[in-house]
Amino acid sequence: MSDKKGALKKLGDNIEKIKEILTSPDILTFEFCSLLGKKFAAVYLDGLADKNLLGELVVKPLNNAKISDDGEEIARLLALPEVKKGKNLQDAVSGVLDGNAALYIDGSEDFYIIGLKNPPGRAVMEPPTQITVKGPREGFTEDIKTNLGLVRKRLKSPKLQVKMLSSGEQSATAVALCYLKGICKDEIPEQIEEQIKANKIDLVPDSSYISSFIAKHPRSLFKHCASCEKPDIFCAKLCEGRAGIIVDGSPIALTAPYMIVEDFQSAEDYYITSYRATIIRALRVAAVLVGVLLPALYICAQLFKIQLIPVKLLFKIASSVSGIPFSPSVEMFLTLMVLEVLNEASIRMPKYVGLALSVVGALVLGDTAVKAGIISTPAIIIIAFSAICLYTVPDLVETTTTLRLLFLIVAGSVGLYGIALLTAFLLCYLASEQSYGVPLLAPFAPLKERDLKDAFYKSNLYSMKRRPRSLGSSNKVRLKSDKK
Amino acid sequence: MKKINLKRVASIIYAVVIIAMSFLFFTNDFGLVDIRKTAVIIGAGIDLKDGGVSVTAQVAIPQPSENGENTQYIEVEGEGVTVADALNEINKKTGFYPKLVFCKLLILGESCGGGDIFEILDYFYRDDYTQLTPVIAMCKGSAGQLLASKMRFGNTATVSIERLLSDEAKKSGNVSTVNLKIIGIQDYSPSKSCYMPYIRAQSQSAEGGSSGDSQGSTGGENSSGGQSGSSSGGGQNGGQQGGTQEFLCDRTAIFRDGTLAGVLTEEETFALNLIKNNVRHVFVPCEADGATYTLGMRNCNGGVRVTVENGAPKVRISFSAVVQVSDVDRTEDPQSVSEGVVPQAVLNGGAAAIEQRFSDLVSALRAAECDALEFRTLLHRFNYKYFDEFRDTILRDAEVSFDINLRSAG
Amino acid sequence: MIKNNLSVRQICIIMCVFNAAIKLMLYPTTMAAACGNSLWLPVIADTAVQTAFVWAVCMLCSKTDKTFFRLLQDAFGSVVARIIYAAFALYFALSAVVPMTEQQAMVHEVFYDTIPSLLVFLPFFFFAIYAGSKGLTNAGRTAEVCLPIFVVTAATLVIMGMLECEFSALLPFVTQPPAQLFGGCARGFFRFNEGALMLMFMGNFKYKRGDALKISLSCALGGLIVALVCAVFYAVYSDLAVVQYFAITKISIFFSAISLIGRTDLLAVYALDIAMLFAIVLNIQMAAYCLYKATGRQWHPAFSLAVNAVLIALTFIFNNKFALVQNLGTSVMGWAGLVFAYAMPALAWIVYAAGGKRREKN
Repeated sequence: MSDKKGALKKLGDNIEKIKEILTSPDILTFEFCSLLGKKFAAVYLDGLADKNLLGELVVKPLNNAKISDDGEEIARLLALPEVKKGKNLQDAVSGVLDGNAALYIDGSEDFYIIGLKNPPGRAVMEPPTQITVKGPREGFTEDIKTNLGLVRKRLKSPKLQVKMLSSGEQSATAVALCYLKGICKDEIPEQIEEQIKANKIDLVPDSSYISSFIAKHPRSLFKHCASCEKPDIFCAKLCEGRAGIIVDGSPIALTAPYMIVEDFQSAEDYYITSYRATIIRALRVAAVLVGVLLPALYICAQLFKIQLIPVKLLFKIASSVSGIPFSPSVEMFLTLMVLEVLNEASIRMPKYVGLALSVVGALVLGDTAVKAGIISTPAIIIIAFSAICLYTVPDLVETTTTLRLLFLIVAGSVGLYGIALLTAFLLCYLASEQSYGVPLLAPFAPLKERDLKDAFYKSNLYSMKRRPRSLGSSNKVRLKSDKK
Repeated sequence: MKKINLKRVASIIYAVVIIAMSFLFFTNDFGLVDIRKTAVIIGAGIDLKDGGVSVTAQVAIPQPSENGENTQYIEVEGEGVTVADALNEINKKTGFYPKLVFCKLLILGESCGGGDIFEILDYFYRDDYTQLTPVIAMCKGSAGQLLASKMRFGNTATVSIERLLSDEAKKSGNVSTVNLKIIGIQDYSPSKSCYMPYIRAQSQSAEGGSSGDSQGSTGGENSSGGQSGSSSGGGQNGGQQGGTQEFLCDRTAIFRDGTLAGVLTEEETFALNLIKNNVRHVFVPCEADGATYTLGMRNCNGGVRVTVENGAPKVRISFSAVVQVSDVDRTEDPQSVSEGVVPQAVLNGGAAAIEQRFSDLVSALRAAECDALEFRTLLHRFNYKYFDEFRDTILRDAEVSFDINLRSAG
Repeated sequence: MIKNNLSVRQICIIMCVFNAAIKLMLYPTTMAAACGNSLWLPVIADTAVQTAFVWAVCMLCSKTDKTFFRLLQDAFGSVVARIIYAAFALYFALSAVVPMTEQQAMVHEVFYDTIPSLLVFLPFFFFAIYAGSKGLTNAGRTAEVCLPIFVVTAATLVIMGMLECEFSALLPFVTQPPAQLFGGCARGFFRFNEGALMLMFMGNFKYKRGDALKISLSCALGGLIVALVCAVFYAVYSDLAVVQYFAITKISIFFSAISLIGRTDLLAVYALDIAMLFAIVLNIQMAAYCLYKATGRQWHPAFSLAVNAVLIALTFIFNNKFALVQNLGTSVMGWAGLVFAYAMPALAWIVYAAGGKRREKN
């Protein structure tokens, strides 16, 4: 299917030909003629193309015009910015499927793809995750154009490069690869582009698919690119020297290279005082450690080393657990499973059932289980606290909840030494992992002291005059100021 | 030859490991002694009995309770040829595995004083799973019966004694609190002497009156390994229906080569504490200007210095403190009270009182041939070249001088 | 792709942190048994000698970019170089045995209330096989990760110990007969293999002016940390130190707050154990690296597997033979240390000097 052969002169033939390929009933054809009787046909996809615009800006002007055969004149009459001449039938098909309209003219080989795309979508609003008290509240939407607009709104720089790619054999999902030329290392966008192109898949419904494509080890427990829902964070990361990926249909943008420390940085850290940000950052690290390790340490303390518990607390715990029919490890495992089930159900369930669920979960299950002596109170407290702790770093929750379960199993089977070994194993693993040449543990290993200003602690703006060294940007300075 | 797919091998290994660990996780059956099978010993008493050792352990048994903790305490006795043997018997009798990691108090009965206490305590220094942190004391009579005493304020004996021997009490100068580590170090040192509080039980009638020292053997003997069945309110003392006990820890047992060498009086104990312990705030009564004063002393700093001058060892016991008058048995001018300046005469009186106590202490230690003030150790550390010459005579022959420096708080 | 290049900073951290961490298990107790209150003196002496050899290797690095293997290859040919590296592989594998058995005993005592079975220790080898297959670059990075863990935990434990110790217990200074002090040096001698490590790092980092001083000082600092822990340990336990195993786990238990908040110091001990694990595994990584060089093949996890297979076999053979391992360590590994950590750096210099003369002739 190619070349001029595809575009026939007769309007009926043209429509017939396109209908042969696009057989779906939601592909509509609207035929109309000009004052001089010139026939036109607009082929479009119902639901994606904007019918009002079609009527107002395409049909109306052409209906009222005295048009000869000249295609150029027709194009001038259309009061739309996005009008391009189609080359072949394939152009027409992809244009229509993309949500645009294909305008055929009777007796002419030429046809036009008219940008009428208006897919159903939501407005720009605050993202459900990455909520900030201070700072911008705009979040990405599912529309790539809107998202690119949000980025352009913040980066009015000629250095901002956007490479439009397509991924998905059937979905032909638009993927925008953004980076700042001269700031982002050239190899990074090149490698990303290569990897996206190398993966042939039917459908790319979300950016998480792209995230798997560009990861060096897709089976890894740790991700290899960061995700963000806010254009301000996205732009900040581009300015640090990263490349960003926006996928059509996904409100979550990706950035690479990724360092684990990124997940401990919140957007708000940059809008509040550095002292407060440092404290919160330390709190996040502590919370994640507690969230992952507390259930494991608790069962280790019960099974292997009761000395870890202060004696008075030990008596309280011993009072609670005496009579519980399960071993400490099984009890903790069951409690964790209940939490995971509640968590899963509360996300999936309709909102009006959610309230009932919380009552059933918290009161009926929790309280009754304790009263019935099936689960002890400390187990519930520990699992609940652990869950809260892990949500202090929401971007890492997938990893940390898995790690919590791993640590729990290791603690219940091997004990404290197992915890030490698993921690060492994870550190060793992370030390060897890289994301586009940047170690996941950077700037701690390999150590880049200057980068610690925005890692271990959050320094003030004037102390961070240079871009992160770990990212290896050739343009090193990001702030020129006499202030220190 | 077919190449081995390492990734596949690794996946299989991971799967096997996860299955094995899950099995261990859910069975938990590898000889563990978890929190539910553990007897948490909070205090232990050791007596010598019929050529063997009798260990009475005060064990905490947490009970299920809706409103927080409800812990019962029982006393369990085990006998054996050694402490380890006796503890093993406790395990055999009760099924609970006795853990000493939370043991905060160790009481030696009077019977232990006849021989080398370190032969009895060897278990604690040898065992990797016990610590040297428990406070140790000797008691008059049987340690087992002391632990089983019913306390006046409803606590267990262990809790009551622990409170009496706490760090805070130590800082008041009234008790010579030591732990297993300290006595071990002292006994291993060139001085080969150590000391520990000496506990006496004082019976209280149901009306609350004191009825003098209890010998600790007044109660009926617990059957071997029997549980006295006491609750968290403390142990019943079989022979004292309705009566309760109070403990006094103001005396100090002194040991030479691990053997009991004597018991210091309250005054001597106080003097020992001023020198050896880092006391914080003490009260010293003294006579001055025809009145009896009670001096409150803070910023106390005591110490011993051993030197060798002109071929003779000299010991200098020093003490300094900031003094204020806490009480006096006569009415004084409000102006002088508000100024808070302690008259020199009163300071001198205080110094004389302290010096007298120090002197009595040194005499008592010399009489018992117990180097509790560690003259020999200090000679070894700071005058090593004279150590061999004076090691045997320093306690007896050294010239002891006192340097008491009291300053008025005002 | 496994890399074996390191930065100078990473070498410094390995020399300081791993050097100290691996010696904090039983070494202070054995030194207390050998030299009493002068236990710190053999540590300083052995450290000084070892630091001198590390410095010598660093100076050699300043003269040439070649690896030790390349030097040997140029001087004696490929076969001899491979044989020497195979011997080094065996030396590093055996160097891991004593710390590994100490770790095993420490785990049994400190991580568990009741004596667990040998099975509990075996997962160590999963970690060892994995880490051993990761190469020297990974060792350098893990050292950087271990630095804050080691500094925070060791400092916490030492400070907790210092608040409850009596430093006069270290008096009088050096009263032991010289034979006893030399005996102490000899007993701890086998634990110092930094010279051999430095030989393996040779040519795997870019030497810059002043790096020799940095690396040597780091090595000395590691030894000083061990000496400090020894001193604090003795100041806490005095004459009882000889019966207190695993010093670092014991020095903090008399800290007054422990009685209120429970053995939270154990958390620091467990975290410190992570640094100790990496320090032990460094020997396995080095052994795997030497095997890789000796075989001349591509880097393969089988090298690590082979080294660990030997260690697993030795673990079963030496199970419950702790004293025997210590004695073998002192005797056999002492001599091996003399050859690999002391004679080999000297050989490296001789080979280089001889090569220099050849170059002049040519």
